[in-house]
Amino acid sequence: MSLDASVRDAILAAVPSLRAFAISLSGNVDRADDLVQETLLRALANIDSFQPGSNMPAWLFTILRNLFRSEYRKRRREVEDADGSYAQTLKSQPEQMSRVEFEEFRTALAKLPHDQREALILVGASGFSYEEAAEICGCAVGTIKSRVNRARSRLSETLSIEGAEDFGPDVATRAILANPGST
Amino acid sequence: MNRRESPARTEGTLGKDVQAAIGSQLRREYQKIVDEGVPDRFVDLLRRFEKAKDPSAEAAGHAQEPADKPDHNDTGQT
Repeated sequence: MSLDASVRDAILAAVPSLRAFAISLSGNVDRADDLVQETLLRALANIDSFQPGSNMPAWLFTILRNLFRSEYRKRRREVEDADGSYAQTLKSQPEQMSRVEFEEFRTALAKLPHDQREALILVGASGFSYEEAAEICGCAVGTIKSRVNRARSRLSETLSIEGAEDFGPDVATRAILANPGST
Repeated sequence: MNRRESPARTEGTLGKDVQAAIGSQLRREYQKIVDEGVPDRFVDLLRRFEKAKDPSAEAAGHAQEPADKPDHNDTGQT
């Protein structure tokens, strides 16, 4: 049996976001791409269990997350140094922000507990609903909401505290907002 | 994995503007990676899989332009 064209297209369409998720989890582009590759292989091997028309991105994200989780358990210590590695990978140039602000945000994100970062990214960046994110993470919807809220609180705290040294009070938003033209 | 965490009670304690700011920053970072499109290796991987499954599916592989990557140069070649 061949791979249905619509299924293949759905897989390909999900790859960019899947990759962004993998990079945000692993903090390392090369490892993220290996993770995506492994995910695709796993998905293709089990493609018969995919219901055409159902949520392909959620299916792939679930596979990737589980792969990452099992790898993460194995290499916990290595991943835990994320403070440094996560923050310094992803060399995308921060056109929209000043260097300092960009690094600040990235570092703050890297310091989030793993569960919280994952939930925040799924809901806040990948565009999944709380329900979908809960399914992907294998937990309750309320758990996802809680993690997302904690992640946001912590991010804003971190950024405002660190920003305060440089800019004075009321930087909670400014440090994050960092709107280029909006001086 | 089903760790119990108390449901969100912080909702609303963060200013909406802060939440929005975090959200937009996050999406911007994420979008940068998304904009890189599909790296060739994954297009190739799917193509190889299709061929292995069904050699006649090769032609269908062209329907999907993988990404707007300027350096993507192996479309249609085997």
